[in-house]
Amino acid sequence: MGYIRFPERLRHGLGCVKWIFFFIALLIPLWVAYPLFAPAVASDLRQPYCQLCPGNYILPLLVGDINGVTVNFKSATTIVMSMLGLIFSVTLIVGASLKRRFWCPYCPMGLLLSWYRKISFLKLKKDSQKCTMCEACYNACPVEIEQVFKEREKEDVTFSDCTLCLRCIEYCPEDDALRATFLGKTIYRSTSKGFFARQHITPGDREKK
Amino acid sequence: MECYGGIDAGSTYIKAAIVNGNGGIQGCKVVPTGIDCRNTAREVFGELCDELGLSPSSIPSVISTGYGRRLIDFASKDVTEIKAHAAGGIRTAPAGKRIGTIIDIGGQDSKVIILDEDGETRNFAMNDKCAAGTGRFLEVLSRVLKVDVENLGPLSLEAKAPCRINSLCAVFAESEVISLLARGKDRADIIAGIHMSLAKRISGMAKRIGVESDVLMTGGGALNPGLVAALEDELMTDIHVAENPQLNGAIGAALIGGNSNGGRG
Amino acid sequence: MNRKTIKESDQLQRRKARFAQGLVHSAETALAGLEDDPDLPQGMRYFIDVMRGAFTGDQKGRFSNPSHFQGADNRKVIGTYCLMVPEELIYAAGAIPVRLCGGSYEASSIGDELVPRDTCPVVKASLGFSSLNLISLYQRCDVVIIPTTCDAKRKMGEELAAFTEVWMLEVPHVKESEGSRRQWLEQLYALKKNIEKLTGKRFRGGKIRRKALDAAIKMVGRAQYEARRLYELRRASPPVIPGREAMLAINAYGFDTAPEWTEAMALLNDELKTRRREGRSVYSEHAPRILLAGSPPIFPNWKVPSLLEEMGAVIVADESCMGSRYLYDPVGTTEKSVTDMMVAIAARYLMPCVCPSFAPNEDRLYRLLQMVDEFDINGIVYHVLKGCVIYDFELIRVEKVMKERNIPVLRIETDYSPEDIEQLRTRIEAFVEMLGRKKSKMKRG
Repeated sequence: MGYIRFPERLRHGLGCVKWIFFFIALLIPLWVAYPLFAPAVASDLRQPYCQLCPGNYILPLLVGDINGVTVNFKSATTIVMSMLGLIFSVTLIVGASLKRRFWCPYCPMGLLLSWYRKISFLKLKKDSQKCTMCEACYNACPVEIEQVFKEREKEDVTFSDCTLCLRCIEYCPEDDALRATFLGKTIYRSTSKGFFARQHITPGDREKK
Repeated sequence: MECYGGIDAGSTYIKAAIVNGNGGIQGCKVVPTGIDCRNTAREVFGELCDELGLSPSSIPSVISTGYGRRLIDFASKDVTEIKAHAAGGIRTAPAGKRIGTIIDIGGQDSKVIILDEDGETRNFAMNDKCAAGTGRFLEVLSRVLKVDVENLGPLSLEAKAPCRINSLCAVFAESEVISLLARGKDRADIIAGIHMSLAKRISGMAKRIGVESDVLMTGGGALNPGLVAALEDELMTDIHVAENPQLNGAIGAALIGGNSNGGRG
Repeated sequence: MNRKTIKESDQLQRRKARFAQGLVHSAETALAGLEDDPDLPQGMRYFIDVMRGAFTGDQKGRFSNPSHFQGADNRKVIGTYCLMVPEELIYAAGAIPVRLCGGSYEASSIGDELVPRDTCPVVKASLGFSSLNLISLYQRCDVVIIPTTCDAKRKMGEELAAFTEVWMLEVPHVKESEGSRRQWLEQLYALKKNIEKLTGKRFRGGKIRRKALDAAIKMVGRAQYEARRLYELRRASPPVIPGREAMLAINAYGFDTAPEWTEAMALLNDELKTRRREGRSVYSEHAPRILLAGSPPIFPNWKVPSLLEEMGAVIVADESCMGSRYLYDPVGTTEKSVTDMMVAIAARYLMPCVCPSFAPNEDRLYRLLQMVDEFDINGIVYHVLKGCVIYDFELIRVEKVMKERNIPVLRIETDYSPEDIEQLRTRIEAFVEMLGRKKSKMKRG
């Protein structure tokens, strides 16, 4: 669907957003549990994340329940939270149709998962000598990770935003330049034949011209 | 004992050499090439065989090298001068020295050959486009200075204040030398300057591919002590002169023939 | 017309005829060097004919063939230089790209009078061809696109404007930053507009639309697929095709249209595949395997490839921009929108290009190392054209990297003139000798 890609400076600037969401997700529940100040607000924030989450408003629609799609007027806190939640929902729908993996770079879950990438069973590996720096992996990456394309020394290229969708391997035109390994064993590798097949440029297609 | 022959068919001189199965040098001969390389080569080889009491037909292999190597019809094979000089240099170097670099200065070209630990060629550089790095430079200037080529070396060693020769080109250097003479510069100083100029050219080529010790000089240029000294100064290392330097190519070619025929050269 | 003008025009005609004769002779000599191969693959004949047609006989040449270039279609012909001009845009607009980098000694002699003495012979030949119209190819171009790669090409662009319409294409020399990549994309959008204007009447609204661009990408992609197959087949040991033939086949792409070339290349590849299976080769397994690097040998300057293979080596790999690098990198489209296709095209024509006009150009060292591994290279012959400073500059780094891998490198500096063939022969022979000895030593182990 969407195809907008952000320029580098914007991406770097927005990199801190996931930390903001992470602290929101971490600190607010602590505050709810230990309301050192404004306890009234804290009690209304019982499930702060859920009040903000678009899932709260969108998912019930799938079973035909439209009651969730409203502002909750119980208290000032819930008004604010539910309005924010509705705004997030609309932003998400619009954003997702304009840009792939719209939310992923800002998700605190992603941040948490990325901390485990060094010990992950599934890793992305690169052979820099085989890489022709064609930029295809960067163009294909839904989370706009540039480092896989730019890395020239290290073999392990599992970076923090990576969702391991392996689209980069799909679109890499060089044999064995990028590989996915599971517990060290290669399970998926880039091939030039695969590349051409994906672009529908193999001899079988010649006849179709 | 089996003997093997080598011919180095240069453009100025033809050199012939005969070695025995042990790599010992039986004899060698140098003559000017003249206009008929093929016949001159045949003649000189015949004469050499006569001098050594051998008949040309008894020699199982003759290898040719040098510019006219393909014209030598009685040669069984031809090899490049790089290969020939490398093979020769190992044998004609002073005993006990491991040669890493061979610098060959001929009449019309000069080369630098880098050898690896096994004495095989690892890298090389050649100058065959410009006379300013070859013996021709000295010949031209010997005419101007009215000195025999053989005396150029000893004379240069007597120099007290070597002149600088600025011209890059041998032809323009000739004019420069004439003007130096007219200004009353000492001949020895001029000759020393010429040698320095030559040495700079050659050492530039050598440094580009990396000189490895020890250094051996071959070719007609090695007979010139002034040139050897000038090169030693430029490269800042001792230079050994090969035994029979002008014949190094022919000797090497003969040794190659010997090796491939089971000899222990 | 007064007598003086008639005389001048006569003189000019005679001069032109003299040069044309020389050109035909050089081209035929070069082609004879290929046809001498006792085991010439059947599939090579097509490419030899393309070159013969382009250089020796316009009557037989593709460029006088009405069904392609004249007649009802009246397709535009767009001349290109270097590797950075996207042919997909040209094909999508219904025009035909031709590669104009000059390789003729005769043409470079003409160009000698028009540029400084130390300019590279490619520029001299290109200008010579354009100024004297030795072959109709250059005259036939409606416009010429010149990327701003090296100094000589940039100034050549200025000079060429006297003979033909020239569009300069600004290629960023430092490709690392996103800013330069964005600038490049904008350049290509501007180029697209210019091409549309040139060919305008062909389309409704005069724009290159998604379908046409997609078709063009696929068409060029098929050519790249076959070129990649050839690349892979050249890895075989013993080699299934001499380098001088394979390089000519790719060089021919610049003078041919993609679909025809692809068909012929597919047939050649099939033939070579059979040869590989049968182990059939004109070379033994002992022939030293060479990577020909540096400035490109451009037909009819087939001096160095022919000499190398005459001396018993085989060029299994090359990184010439008229050879393997021409069609190596494919365009990787991820979506089907025009935006995405333009981004993919921009990426392909800039990022993987390792022309030394880019600085830094570390990527080229990786490519060379990869080729050394893939093709089991014994030695590298580094071809430097006189005046080609940028390739010469990179030699230092290439030598350093290859020294670590124990791969000998021979630097050969030459131009298009046949004067130095003997000197080259001595060096090449000594190098091949050296490699042969090293190889047999390694085998004996």
